[in-house]
Amino acid sequence: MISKIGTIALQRISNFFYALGFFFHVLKETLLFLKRKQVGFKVLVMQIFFTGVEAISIVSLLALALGAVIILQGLTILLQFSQTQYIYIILIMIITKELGPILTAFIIIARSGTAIATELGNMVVSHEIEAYTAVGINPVSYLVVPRFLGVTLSLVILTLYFNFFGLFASFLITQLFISIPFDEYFDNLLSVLNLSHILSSLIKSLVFGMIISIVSSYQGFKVRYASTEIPQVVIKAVVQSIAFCVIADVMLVILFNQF
Amino acid sequence: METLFELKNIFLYSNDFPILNNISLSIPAACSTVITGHSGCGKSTLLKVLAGIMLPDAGEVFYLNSNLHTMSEKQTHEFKKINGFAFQDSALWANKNIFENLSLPLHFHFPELSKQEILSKVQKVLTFVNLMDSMYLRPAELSIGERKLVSMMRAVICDPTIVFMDDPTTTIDQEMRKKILTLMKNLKHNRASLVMVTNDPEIIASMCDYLVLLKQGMLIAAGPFEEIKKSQNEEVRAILSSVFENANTFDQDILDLLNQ
Repeated sequence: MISKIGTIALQRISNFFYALGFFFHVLKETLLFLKRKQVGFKVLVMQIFFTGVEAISIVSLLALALGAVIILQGLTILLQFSQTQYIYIILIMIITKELGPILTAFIIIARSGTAIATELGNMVVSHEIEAYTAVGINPVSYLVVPRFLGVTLSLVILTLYFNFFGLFASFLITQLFISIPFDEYFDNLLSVLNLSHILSSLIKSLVFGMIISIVSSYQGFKVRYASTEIPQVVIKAVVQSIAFCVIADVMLVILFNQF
Repeated sequence: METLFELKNIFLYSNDFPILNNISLSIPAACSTVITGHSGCGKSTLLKVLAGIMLPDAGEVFYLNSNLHTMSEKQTHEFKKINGFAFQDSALWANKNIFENLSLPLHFHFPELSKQEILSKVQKVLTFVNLMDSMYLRPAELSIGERKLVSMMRAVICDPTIVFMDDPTTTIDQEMRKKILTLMKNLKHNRASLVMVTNDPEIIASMCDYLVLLKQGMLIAAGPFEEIKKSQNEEVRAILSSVFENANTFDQDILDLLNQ
């Protein structure tokens, strides 16, 4: 019993260091990516298209709905206390600082994280990864780095878009229910918004993008023999990505509050 | 004969089960080496270890006296540039069409080639295997045999001096089989080193210079084919007779082997 626990513990420690090694290997290959003029540039463009461009519609819908709901719900409550001026700080705090980055990350986990783990897993099973190695193409450099860069870059841009759309386009929706003068809304919003809010959002999305791409790629590569392993690694990729993003979110909030 | 590869005490496990069990052998340069044995004896794994695709759990692989696993990135790149690998199950990149599958190694190893030069090289190899009409199809749109041929062409498109082939003649028809044999003979004629896994008696009889026999992950025999087929070792003769029992063409040594 004790030896079994010991074996599992040792395996976990070994897996942790292996994952850490994978992370640093990806970072190293990322630095070398542009220098090498790798053939993986096309993969990067495709990844940005899939993760960034094709996700715009769902991100727009979520940002629009979230912004509208906050304004409608917030104003209903704040009106009872005659404190409607706080709606702007609530909007910024919720959309820009908190839900913008994390909800966009969740969308990317659902779309791109699952796709990356599935695609790489399938490639392992069909020996396509071995075929890259046989040709001399480093699978991390050719397959993981473009996904790492593509997902991270797309997530940063999508988060900025989410913030913009959530804050500004939702204004139009609310006009259907509550009439807020255009000038008043934007003046008040911009007076609350400052650089630290945008920076916080950007840093979070950068970290989340790195987490999602690395975790999903790592799990995809963990497939060994059969396609039946693929759903299992996809589930792990989703669960671990969510867990690490939430933990990173809390840590970043604590860090930001120190400054 | 110059030694191309040297393996020293190679062990490779899958879930604690030894796939390769203490393999030590030398593979000569500029000749055809055939690795054979019963199904599941570790032939394909050994081929992948030699090609540097799989890492053994223990032991060392030397390519012209350089350790394959401690080579610099530049040396590894050079090694990969001069070798090609045809997979048993084709292993074509499913999200790329046939042209992209064949052109990627050229783009990677010869970035100086123009688009036109790459296109003409791809057209040349596709014409050889009568697959010109399939150039812009995805691998899933081809038959298993056609995929196998494309995989062979991908292995040789960079004009390698070492070609690894994993069961090159299974799942293809007689006409294509003849083409593959012609291709192999051309490669051999051009002094390329061929290392292949096969149980095909015709290929072994017509192409093999050096034979490696495996049984349950262990090396049974390795040496010039002419010597091995005269071996009196029971295990060697048992494996060889099972390989050659369906052969159509025999030489006297093989007839002796089968008539025992």
